[in-house]
Amino acid sequence: MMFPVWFLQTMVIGGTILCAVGAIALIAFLVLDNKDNQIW
Amino acid sequence: MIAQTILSPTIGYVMLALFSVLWVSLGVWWGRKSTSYDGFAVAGRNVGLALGTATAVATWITSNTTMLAPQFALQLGIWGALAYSTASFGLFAFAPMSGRIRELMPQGYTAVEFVRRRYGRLGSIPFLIISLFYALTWLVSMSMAGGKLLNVLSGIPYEVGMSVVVGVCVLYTLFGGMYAVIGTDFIQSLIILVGLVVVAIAVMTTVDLTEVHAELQADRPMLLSVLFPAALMTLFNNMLFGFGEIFHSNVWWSRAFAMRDKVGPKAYALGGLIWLPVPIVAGFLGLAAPALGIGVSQPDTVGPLVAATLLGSGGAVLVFVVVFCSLASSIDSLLAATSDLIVNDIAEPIAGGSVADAHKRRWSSLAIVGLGLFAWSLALPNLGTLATVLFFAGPMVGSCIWPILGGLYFRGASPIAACLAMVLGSVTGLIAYFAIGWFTASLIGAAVSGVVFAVTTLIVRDDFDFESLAGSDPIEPSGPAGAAS
Repeated sequence: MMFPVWFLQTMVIGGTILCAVGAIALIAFLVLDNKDNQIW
Repeated sequence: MIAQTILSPTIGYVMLALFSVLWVSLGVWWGRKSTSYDGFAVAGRNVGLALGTATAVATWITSNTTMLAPQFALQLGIWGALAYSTASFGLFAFAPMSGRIRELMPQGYTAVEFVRRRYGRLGSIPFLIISLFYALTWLVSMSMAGGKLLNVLSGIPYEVGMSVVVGVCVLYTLFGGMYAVIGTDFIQSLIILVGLVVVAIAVMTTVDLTEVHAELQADRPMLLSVLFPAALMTLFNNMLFGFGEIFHSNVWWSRAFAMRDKVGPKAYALGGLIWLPVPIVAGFLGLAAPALGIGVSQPDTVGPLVAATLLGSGGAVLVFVVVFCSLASSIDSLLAATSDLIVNDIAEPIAGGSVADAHKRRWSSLAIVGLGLFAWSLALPNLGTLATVLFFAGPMVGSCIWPILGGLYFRGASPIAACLAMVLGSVTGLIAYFAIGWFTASLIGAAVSGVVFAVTTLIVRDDFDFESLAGSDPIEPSGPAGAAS
């Protein structure tokens, strides 16, 4: 039994999207922390 | 030096110089904030969600993630990439623990300090040995990876690349302490995530995923197999290695102490979520190698080679930067966290009592320089066998999982149970490492440790008072078995 091609596609494309979302989320958190003066 | 590199040494030196100046400047800049020992060691205990999340992500993305995840995928297929990503479960599991740690020890500094106060010397001696073994071998292996990777990518001689990576990390950690470590982690995590996304998109536009699948199906069907025994074993082993690494290591505890109240659980959970896809995307580069016809002489450099081969010099620069950031984000964390162990858990107890902040600050600086020199001198001969020593730590850290969990949440967990669990788990795991294989060592170490811990706790119970952990560290436990009351 083998992993189907759709699984590979979901894994790779999904992973790439999550990485991009992660980078955006970090910047968003920084903006929010900065607003409340809570970076440090 | 290898025959052909993906980046010219000149560009390599320029990139190395640029990022070295950037990190050291930031270290000096943030160092202005670390006027007290609390500032230097735990960033004033006031780190917010953005930097807290980023430091969890960046620290856990080591150069192993960019080197070993593609190698896992190349050798163990889809399960290999998935197995590596299970290391994120450690961050998820540590999320509630970080809140508990912050609540129990608002003035704490290290994981060993917790074990010493919770279990007394019986628990803290094996735990300190395991912690130092893990931290030092990780530090040396990261230093070696730095020299090796910079050499593979740009032809910079191993000795020069390794010395610069270690030297730069020592300098900015020395100037800025935890402020510099966490601050640079934010920038490094962004660079790594964006770099990976750019590389993955570029690879996907060059080679179709159906082609990769077809190539694997024809030439290496085992890599697509759902039932690949060694890979399945690796999945559980890697997950437990991850649990053990995070639960025991002061790298993670020091961040729990550094984060503002209530921030730790959110930061670690979000950090795990952001980290989870990283080995999958990096692993994809390993899976794509056979379809791209890229010959791989050294399996652990398959990721950078695939990216650089497909993307040319721009991609090579990107890979170089991502790798440099991955290395720096781990080495600086290890230097800071291990120096905390040396100061708080070795030097201060030897000094016989509470030591002034100014002295601890000075000792920290000496410890950071000493650790840098130690790592540099062991990494310099470039003995390949040294890097594999890190894997011995798998069963050792795996055997710390239950004593830490039990110590944090159960009054009845006793010092003798913690000690026996760590010692017997480590010994059995190491035997399994040599007798069966590395992919079973953490699994067996954690399993034996769990059984020993449970059985011994049933026989010898403690009645620990968690409130006794709230004050500052009295250095010696106030009674047998760590202050039962």
